[in-house]
Amino acid sequence: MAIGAVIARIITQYSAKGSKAAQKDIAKLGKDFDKFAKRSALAFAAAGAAVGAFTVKVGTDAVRAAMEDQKSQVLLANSLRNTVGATDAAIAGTEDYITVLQKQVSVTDDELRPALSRLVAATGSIAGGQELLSTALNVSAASGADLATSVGAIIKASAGQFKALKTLVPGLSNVTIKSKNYGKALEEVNKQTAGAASKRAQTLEFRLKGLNIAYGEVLETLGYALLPVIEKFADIVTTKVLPQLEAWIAANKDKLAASLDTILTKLPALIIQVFDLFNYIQRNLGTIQVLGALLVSTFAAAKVYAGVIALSGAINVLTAAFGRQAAAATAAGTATAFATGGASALAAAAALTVFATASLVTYKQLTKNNKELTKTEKTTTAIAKDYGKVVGTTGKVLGNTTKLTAEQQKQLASQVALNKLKAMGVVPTSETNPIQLEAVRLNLLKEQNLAQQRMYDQLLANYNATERMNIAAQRYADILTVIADSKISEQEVNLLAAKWNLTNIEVLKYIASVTGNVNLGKGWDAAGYAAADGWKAALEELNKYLAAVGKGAFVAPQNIPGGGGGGMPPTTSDVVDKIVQDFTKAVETIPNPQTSLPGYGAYRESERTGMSSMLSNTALPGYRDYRAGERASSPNVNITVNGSVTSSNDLTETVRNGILAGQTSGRSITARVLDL
Amino acid sequence: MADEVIVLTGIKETQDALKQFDKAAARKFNKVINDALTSAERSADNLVVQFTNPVYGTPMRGWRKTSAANPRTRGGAGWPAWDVSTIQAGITKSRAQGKVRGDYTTSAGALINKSAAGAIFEVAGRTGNASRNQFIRYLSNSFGKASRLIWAVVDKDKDEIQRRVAAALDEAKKTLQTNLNGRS
Repeated sequence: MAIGAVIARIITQYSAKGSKAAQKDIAKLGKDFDKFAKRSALAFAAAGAAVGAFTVKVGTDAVRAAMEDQKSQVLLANSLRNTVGATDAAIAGTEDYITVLQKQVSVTDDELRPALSRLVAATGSIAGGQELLSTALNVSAASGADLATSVGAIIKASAGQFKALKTLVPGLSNVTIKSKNYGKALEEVNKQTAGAASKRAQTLEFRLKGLNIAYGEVLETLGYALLPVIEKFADIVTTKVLPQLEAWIAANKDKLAASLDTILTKLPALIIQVFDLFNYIQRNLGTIQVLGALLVSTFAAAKVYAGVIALSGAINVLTAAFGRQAAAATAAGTATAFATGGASALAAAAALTVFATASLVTYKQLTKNNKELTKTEKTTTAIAKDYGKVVGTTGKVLGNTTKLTAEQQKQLASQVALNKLKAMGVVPTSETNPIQLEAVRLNLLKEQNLAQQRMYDQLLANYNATERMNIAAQRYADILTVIADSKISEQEVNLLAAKWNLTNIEVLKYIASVTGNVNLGKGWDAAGYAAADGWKAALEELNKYLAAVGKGAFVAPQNIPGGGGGGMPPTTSDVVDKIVQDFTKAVETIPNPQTSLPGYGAYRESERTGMSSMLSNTALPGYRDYRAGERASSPNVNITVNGSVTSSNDLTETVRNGILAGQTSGRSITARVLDL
Repeated sequence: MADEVIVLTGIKETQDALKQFDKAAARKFNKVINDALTSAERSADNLVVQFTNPVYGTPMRGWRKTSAANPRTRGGAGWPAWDVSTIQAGITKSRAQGKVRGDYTTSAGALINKSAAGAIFEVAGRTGNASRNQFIRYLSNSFGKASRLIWAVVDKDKDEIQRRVAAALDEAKKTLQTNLNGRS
């Protein structure tokens, strides 16, 4: 938004964005209120306590003031009655006068009453007394003297003594004083001091006094209200408490007196004894000091003695060990111990004992070390001597190194080679030719490497065997799991094939080889596979034999016609039977040259009857020719089969096709011929 | 300026919720606010034309019509030029919420007078002693006291706009409630 843009809000909506802050503010406000309330409560509590204390004080002051006022009133009333025979009404009127006057002139009634009482007595009338009281108040105000002094001066003046009044009122003429005219003097005094009391009452000081007086009146009023209570309390104490106390004292006064007598009797004796003790100490202070010093010194001496005794062994040990110097050091140590810790000399002795023991051990060790050092020194000396020789020899060697002959160089090389062999653990031989030695070394290295290689191969073979054992064990466990139900399903074969990384057929063969039960693979043509293997083996053996006898390889028939006739396709068993028959026939048709020799039957008979020693097949007529012919040529074996079987593969293919033709599972065989 | 302020609650919430149930109702509510603000904006634009002397092309004869090259002094070089189209373009409506005031309210619709000349014309003489300044004195005598453009419109139409928006908001809330009831 541009700076200085004017925004006029038309639609206003509430936003809760600041509400949390507001809640905080409100919460804070609430807390502030709580604090204020607590503080206020405390303040009010303090104020209440203060008020309570103030109340107590006010009450106390009120009672005290009331008592004083009452006392003052009683005295005035008594004086008025005695001097002028004032009636109660006159006394009450006088009290009213006093009350009004104290407010006017700010002088307390406790001062006014005695003054009025004295003036009434001097004048013989209440009215005269009141008149003179006014004069006295003015004189007091004008002169600054207190009311009692003013009253006394006026009373003296009424008796003809004007000196005091002259002092307070200097303007009083000497003529009047000399004339001793009391009336005239009083007239002059009134003239000179008129209104002084009223004027003084207007000043701040006396206005404050007036307030104090008013407060005092209030207190007195309150006190008068409280007085009956106090009087009642006093009455109770007087009538109830004190009589009981008196009765108790009366009952126990003898015991109290006896106890007191005992105390007074014993106390002087005790005091005397204490006094005597202190006196004795005072008198024998010097003796006690000496005794104390003696005790202390004795105690210390004992410690020193014990310390010396305790240390003697250590000192002797140290002396013997370190000789004079060690003894001196020990003595110094002991002295130090006594000087610094004489009071703990025994402790020092113990410490020194420990030190001595440690020192002894150290000494022995040092002695031992010294012996070793001496021995070492001797050795070192000898070494030093030899070192000189070595240096000389070395120098010569160094000098001659540059002049090494070829032989020496050879020896050096031989030594180096021998050292290398030594490092390999080879016992040095008499061989000195470095080249040979190096060859030996290299050969050893090679052998080592070969040995290492063999070791690695062995390890690897071991590992492989272990691995194979593990695999075999795992496979065996798998087989046991699979054949638990005495059959193998397609899914199980697939799983095993995937797990073993083999083909399905390899799996079946493996299982058959392990379990020896080819029937497990029923439905999986395991029997057919086994038969095919058997045929392969038989064919191989046959061909080997045929080759040995100089015949050609067996040719298996193909597309064997069905033996059952009727145009039905041949079954697997028919085909196999046919092949077996042909094979057997072919084998049987092979003539045995030896058995066909003349006299062979007699030879066999003599063999059965134990006459073989007399006859021998080699002695048979024509045997030589037989052997010669055998060597010259092998008999031909002709195997005639229908079809065009020309090789083992053809044979296995034929077998496989036959099996396929005979298998009933309908499952396609994916294995190749070579797999069979 | 109106003494009382009507504070509407839940404009944005209602609008957001209403969009989920009845977009037409949301648009209708939105249109009420926009129409009200547009009307106010147009009124302020009209005031700019109204206050422009057809002879001088400015409110006062001495007011520049082109901006000074070196804007420094008021009334002379630097005094913002009075250009009706610029001032009118500077008067826009806004529904931005802006800052939240201390009374926890924010704007849901406002007019803004952005141009320098428009702002001067709007608030010149609002504070201080206007009688000692000839420009302000003449401005006040001729066009009234401060609040001469957008604030004049707001003062005049605010209540009516607020009533309309409040009524639309109530209606939108009712619609929303109806939808919520139907949903439950």
